[in-house]
Amino acid sequence: MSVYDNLVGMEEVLDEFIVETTELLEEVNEDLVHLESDPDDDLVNRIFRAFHTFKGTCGFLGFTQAKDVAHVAEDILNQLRNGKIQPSSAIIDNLLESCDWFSQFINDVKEREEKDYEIAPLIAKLEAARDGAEAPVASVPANGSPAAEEPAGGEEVAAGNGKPVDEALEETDGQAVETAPPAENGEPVAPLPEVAREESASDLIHHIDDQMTKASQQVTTDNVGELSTYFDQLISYCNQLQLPKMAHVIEKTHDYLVAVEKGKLDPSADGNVAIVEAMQWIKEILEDAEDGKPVDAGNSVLVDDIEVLLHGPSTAKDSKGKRGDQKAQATPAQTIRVDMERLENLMNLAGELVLSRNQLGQAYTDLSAVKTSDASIDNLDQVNNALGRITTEIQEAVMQMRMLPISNVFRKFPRVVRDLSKAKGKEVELVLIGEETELDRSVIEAISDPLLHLVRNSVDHGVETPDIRRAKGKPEIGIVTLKAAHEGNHIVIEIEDDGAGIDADKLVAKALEKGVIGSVEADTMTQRDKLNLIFKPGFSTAAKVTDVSGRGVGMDVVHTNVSKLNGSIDIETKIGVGSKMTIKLPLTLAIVTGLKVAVWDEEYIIPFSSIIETVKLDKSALTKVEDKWVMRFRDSVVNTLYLDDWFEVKSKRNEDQEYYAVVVSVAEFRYALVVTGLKGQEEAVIKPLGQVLGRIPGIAGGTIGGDGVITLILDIPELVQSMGLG
Amino acid sequence: MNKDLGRKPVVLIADDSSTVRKFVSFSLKAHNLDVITAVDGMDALEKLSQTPVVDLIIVDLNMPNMDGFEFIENVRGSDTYGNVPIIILSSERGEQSKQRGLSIGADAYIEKPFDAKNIKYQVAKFLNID
Repeated sequence: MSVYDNLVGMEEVLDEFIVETTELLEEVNEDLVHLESDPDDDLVNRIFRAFHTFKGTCGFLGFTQAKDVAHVAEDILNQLRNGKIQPSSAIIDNLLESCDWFSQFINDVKEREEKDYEIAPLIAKLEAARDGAEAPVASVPANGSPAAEEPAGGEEVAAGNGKPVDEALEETDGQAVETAPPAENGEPVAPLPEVAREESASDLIHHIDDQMTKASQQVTTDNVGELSTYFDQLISYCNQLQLPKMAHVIEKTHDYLVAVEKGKLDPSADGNVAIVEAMQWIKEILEDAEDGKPVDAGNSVLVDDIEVLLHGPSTAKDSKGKRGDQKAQATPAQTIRVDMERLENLMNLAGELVLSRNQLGQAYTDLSAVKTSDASIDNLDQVNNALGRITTEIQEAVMQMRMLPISNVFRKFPRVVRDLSKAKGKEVELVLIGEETELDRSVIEAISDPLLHLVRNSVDHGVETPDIRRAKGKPEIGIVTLKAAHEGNHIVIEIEDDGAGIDADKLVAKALEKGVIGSVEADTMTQRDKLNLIFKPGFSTAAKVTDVSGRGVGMDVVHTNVSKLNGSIDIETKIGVGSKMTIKLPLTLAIVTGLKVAVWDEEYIIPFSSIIETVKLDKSALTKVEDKWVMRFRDSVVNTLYLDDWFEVKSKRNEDQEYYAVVVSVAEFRYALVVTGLKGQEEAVIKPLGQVLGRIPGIAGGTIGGDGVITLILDIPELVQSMGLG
Repeated sequence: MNKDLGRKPVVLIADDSSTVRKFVSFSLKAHNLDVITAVDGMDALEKLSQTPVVDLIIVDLNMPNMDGFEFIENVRGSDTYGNVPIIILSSERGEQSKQRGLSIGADAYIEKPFDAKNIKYQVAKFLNID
């Protein structure tokens, strides 16, 4: 019997499971990459909870294999949480692998496919990771005392047999001397600094006291380094003795000292008070311990005080939530999930409302032209204005509902960059800027893959390997910056790297070799044209096709996708310095601001996002080449199309008629569209043409004007393509 | 409908997993119960304070911001809700968390993987319905 047979009637629950797991997986992927570079208890807890949730939900839905994977992963997180293992790169790898497994599994659940997965190897790997540090015995030097006693033994000493903590600290301390560097997960750990070998916790406190007294209770640039070392040592004592709460407080104190040491914070009176308080508090605990009282205690007041010092007053209340927890705290209660279909429906209704409003406006104008002095007409004017305002607000509100922050796409990239740079033996830092920038959900979906490709390209082809970078005098760590920002009705996304740059002449040579261009063409190319060669289908600059970027999805696909969104893409590059790709996209696909043009008796709207400029047509600039018109335009030649020809509009061509050329761009290529008149700006809600007409190439849809007349909106990229000009 | 109450009983579910919330509300709504959901202990306390009457609380143990234990202690310390029955729904293994939960005032403990039948059984027991 299939697992899905038991879930009949529970589709709703299963769908929720898919949504929740997918979201949590994204979060976990992001958190794991973050954890690798910046170990943090809150992150570990969050990841733990995610796997814990997987375990629970997979369990009751009957996905036993998934539950097993989640279970071992949860165990690993538990070990991390208890400080028994460290988030080494190998452990992160293992956990990421389990995330990948889950992604695959969730995809199968989406298809309601039940498989017998080969999970034994993964489980074995995870178990090894989990156990790797549980028994560090193997790597302890021969003269060491059995390390297996250490974690459990430590706890007993502190809590169980009632020895004063100070003595206990010294015992563990002594052990540290004997066992020397404990190995965690096969990675050598630096031996404890000199102080740790000789001094007990109370000695350390004594030192801290000493330092503070000397500096008259002040943290100064002279003593901060030493203080921070002592506090650091106290943390390792607490960890050895499994006093996590106490360790947490001391860690915060240590964080503060490090911030001062690194110059991120200036020493302050409040800081001095906090350090003195911390010292007093630790002293008291040590004294209590001597009386046999329980030892592990937190101090939320002190932690809050230090949080304020570190991050400002706003963080004081949730000293727990450093990163995501804040986010989690702020949002879930106030958000609900809405079916996309319902939202689309609402969007359509809002569109209808705009059209009705426009018609009402038109009716009012007509009416007021006939009846000028009538109180009811004035009244109608007011109502009409109010309705207009509210309609605009409703429309904006609905648009707002469809907006999502671009972090929905960006959040995938840290993992991608991590895995790819590791595979390529490169060191790359990914910098994300403007993650909160919002854009329409449909645009987000469409831009996700192109961005992924560009980011991969930057890491794969852009950033050089560390030895090459060193040889060039560059920092070994390459930087890839992903930046999003609003610019009017557009969003601009930049992907920049400080890598090798793109050699335009090499591109030309390659294109010649592949027969993408001819030698005559090559001679007349501008720098821009040359760089744009990478967007040509079948063009790959990598000397050999790598398993990363060379997957058949090339830059031409990026180009096509961006064009489809009415967007443009631009390349800037400097050899040896780096490259920058700039993508410009409209914020939404549902509303178009465009230029209304006349083609004899017909009118069309051309989206502004495609328009470069409009000029009066100079017939002397036109030439016919092989049946097609081309126009000289600002030192270049652009393909030209008479719209009346194309749409078979009844033409009244005569010698006196003035024509205009609307120069449009599709990605980086330019075209001229010839029209007979320019009518002005129009804001149009795109409506599909309906099933009878279906999709007409080159037409994005129609819009109904205030006068009830339908105007067609052109889809320039599609138009260009269907003309065979692209 | 509960004869004693003369109205639909109200159940509060606190669990950080939306799947679990959906599953439990799905199972209970079919039996004509009103269900209120909360994403963690903190949220659950807020929901409690906003709801005029709650007849039963079902709570997870491992949640962010405020865990189940802390939540239960808070509820039991309250004058208004101190006596509302509490069922723990948890995937924590072992006697320890069960004992701890029961000792601070929970009335029952259901271990994940749980099935709808067991939840319904426990709920029916506490709400005195069929």
